[in-house]
Amino acid sequence: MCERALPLGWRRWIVAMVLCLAGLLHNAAAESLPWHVITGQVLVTPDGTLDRLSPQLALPVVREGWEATSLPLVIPRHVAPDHVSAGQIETVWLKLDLPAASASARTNEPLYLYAPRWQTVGRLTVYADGQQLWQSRGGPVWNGYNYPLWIALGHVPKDLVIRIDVVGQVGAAMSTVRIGTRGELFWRYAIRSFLQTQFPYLSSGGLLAVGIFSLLVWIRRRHESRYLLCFLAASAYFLHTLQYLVGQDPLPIPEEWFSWLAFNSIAWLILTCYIFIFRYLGLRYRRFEAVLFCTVIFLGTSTLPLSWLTHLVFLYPLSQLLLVALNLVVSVAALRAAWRARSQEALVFSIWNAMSTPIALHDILLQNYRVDIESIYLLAYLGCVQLLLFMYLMYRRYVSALDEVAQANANLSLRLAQREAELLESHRQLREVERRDTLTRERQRLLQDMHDGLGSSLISALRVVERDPGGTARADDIAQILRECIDDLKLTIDSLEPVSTDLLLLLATLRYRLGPRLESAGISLAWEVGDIPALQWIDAQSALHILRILQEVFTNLLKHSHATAIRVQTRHDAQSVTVRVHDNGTPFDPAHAPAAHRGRGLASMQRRAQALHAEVSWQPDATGTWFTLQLPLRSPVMPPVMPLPVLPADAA
Amino acid sequence: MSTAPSLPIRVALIEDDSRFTAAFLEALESAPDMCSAGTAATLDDGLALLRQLPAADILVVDLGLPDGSGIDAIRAVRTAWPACNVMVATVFGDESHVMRSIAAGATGYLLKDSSAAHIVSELRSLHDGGSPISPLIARQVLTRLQAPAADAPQTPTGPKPTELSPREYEVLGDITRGFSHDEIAQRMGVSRHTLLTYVRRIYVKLDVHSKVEAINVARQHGWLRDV
Repeated sequence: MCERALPLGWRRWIVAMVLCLAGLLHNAAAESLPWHVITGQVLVTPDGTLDRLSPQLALPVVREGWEATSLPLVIPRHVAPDHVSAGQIETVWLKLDLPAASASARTNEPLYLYAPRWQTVGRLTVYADGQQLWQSRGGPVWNGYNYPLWIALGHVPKDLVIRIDVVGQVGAAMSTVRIGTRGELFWRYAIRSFLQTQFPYLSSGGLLAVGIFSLLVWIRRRHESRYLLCFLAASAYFLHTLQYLVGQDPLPIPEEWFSWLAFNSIAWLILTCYIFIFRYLGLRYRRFEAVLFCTVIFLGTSTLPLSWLTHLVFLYPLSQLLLVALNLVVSVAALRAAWRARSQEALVFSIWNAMSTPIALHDILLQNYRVDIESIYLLAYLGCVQLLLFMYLMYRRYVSALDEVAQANANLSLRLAQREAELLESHRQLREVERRDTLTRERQRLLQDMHDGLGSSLISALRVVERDPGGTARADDIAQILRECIDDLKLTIDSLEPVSTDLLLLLATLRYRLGPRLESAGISLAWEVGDIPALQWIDAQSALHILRILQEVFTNLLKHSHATAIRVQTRHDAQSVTVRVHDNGTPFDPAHAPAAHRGRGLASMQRRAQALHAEVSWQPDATGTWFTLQLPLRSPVMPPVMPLPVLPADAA
Repeated sequence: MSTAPSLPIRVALIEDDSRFTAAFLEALESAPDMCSAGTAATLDDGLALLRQLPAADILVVDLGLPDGSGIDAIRAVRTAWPACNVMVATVFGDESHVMRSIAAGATGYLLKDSSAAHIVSELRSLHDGGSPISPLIARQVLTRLQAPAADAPQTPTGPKPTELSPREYEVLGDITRGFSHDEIAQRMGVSRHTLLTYVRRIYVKLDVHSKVEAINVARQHGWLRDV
């Protein structure tokens, strides 16, 4: 059961290990390709050189001193060297133990040499069968150490020698070496190459683009410092990553400056990440941040390649240790802050930041040949994920800000709709009030009119009938009164027609209604009206007033004046419009009007004229009487058409 | 006025007020050139009356019938008796009644308080092609129909069916200013009868206009397809 429980993957591993062990045991013997070279002979000689070397291999003449070594080969670094005097170069010679070429190894396919990594400050040269095959370019420090070796060998070599010229006593390292055909080895090279150089290259470029986008955002929104921090972090990461990529060719800037940049950029990345996380949590540790800044500035200035201090006091490994210690302290602070803030994403970010300490330690140890030289520098990966987290947090903030804006817009439109509804409601109420007001006014108008006109006329008719219940002597009187009632009604209805500001139309209507009565009474009518300006103030009420005044005039003429000819004229000046009616009957003077009925009619006319701000007058002349109705062109007091809209009290 | 004394004017009446009917028939009897072509007191009886032949020359209709609107009778008579002139009997001759009737096809209206002589003269005038008009109705017509184009008074195709001619426009304007038919006729140098035929033409245009308007409304609502 137990054996079955063993996963398939493990079994494969075990088989592979066994095969590998077998390979080691039979290393010296004839072996088929590809070869994995894990042993060699090493010799260290002084007086190396970075000058141009001869294409032929010139092994040192000494026979003794060669030591057997296993690969990867490590020549350790002196952390505190006895003398740092520049210019001393030693040469490390490495003869690889190649297996005897078996028959099967003789292949027509060209062979390649692949080594995952080498590292030193200096230069590496590879010889095959005494001929120089490959030499590192670049400078002594930035010499392309992070690029895996991929060298075309051609035929099967009899011997392979690697010469490493080391500047100072910084040590050197050489990984194991594989020899085989392209098909056998290239995938290893491709994966290595991707992990060590291409991935940092791609990620730093992509993240830098995002950083530049952030910078552009920050330029427009200066108060949002996190956009600037994002740009600074992306830039620092880019600068840091450059060190894994350079060295294929000589650098455009002095090597010391590039070293300074490569070292300090990681400090800057740490600084921006922590400042960001504190700002993200809304925290501001003034003293702590001041210490952080000071340390970063100290590192930056003390490692400047200008100062004489640099070579005497400062050593990169010690600075690195300072940086690691600093990072440890700050990451603990960030973790604590994130934990207290109960912010899950800040906690994740801080935990990842805290990971930087062991990873940086790993990289330092790798740089100092303390861990397997075939490892990969991990800070690039850490930085990449860190920056992605950084951008994720930015994205979260960005999206939540967008959500807030959308929410705010929704609230705004909701409030707008509410206000709109309130406004509509208040308008509706206003209209309702206005409608009720109009109805009331209209009712009052008609009631008043019925009371003065139709009602009193009908009562008069009733009186006539009552006074003479049996006889028919007053039939003409009754008919007369009823005709007046009908005329009254007709004029009332005419006043209900769509409002017209045309006084002539009112006069025409009056003539249309009363004309037949004048005609039947044998009274001639001369219509001498001319065009007059429109009276804007005429509404249904005032139209009826005008009609009633003139109706009263005509009725009186019919009843009392014994006139045979009537003239109607219109005139106007700048202030008023005048309607004049002349009759050739008995001269009339209102001051001497004894009849009670007539008095009531006159009072009614005066009241109506007053309501119109008009004047009525009578003037006798040689042939009769002139009646004049003078109407104002513009109403002196315009009734308010509509009350001002009242906004809801809380609208402001 | 009457040109054919041998053939009396046949007048039919649809009216529910028996007193007016009696007064109306009395007025007809007093006129030697007129005779009754039948009366009806309800819309149903009126529609039945319209199926009788020979057709009347004039139909007088009251709008407020007990079993329906006189407007239906006006519409019906146009198919039943196409040559018949329609007149609306109304108490006030108010704009809303008269305009609706004209839009349905009436060409005149009769005030119910008119004297017998006036009733007869109105009937004669209508039979001779004239139509009455009040100032308020003239104003309504002016607002509904198009004024004649001032820049091109005589287009080769003639005026549009809903456009007033300059003369018609002038007549309507004078009526709204209160001038009587005689005064206007005198001013224009035509007979009173000719003037009243102008009004008849105006009413026909108003009828056409109301139909055009109905078609436009129908088009706007998609009830009719544009051809």
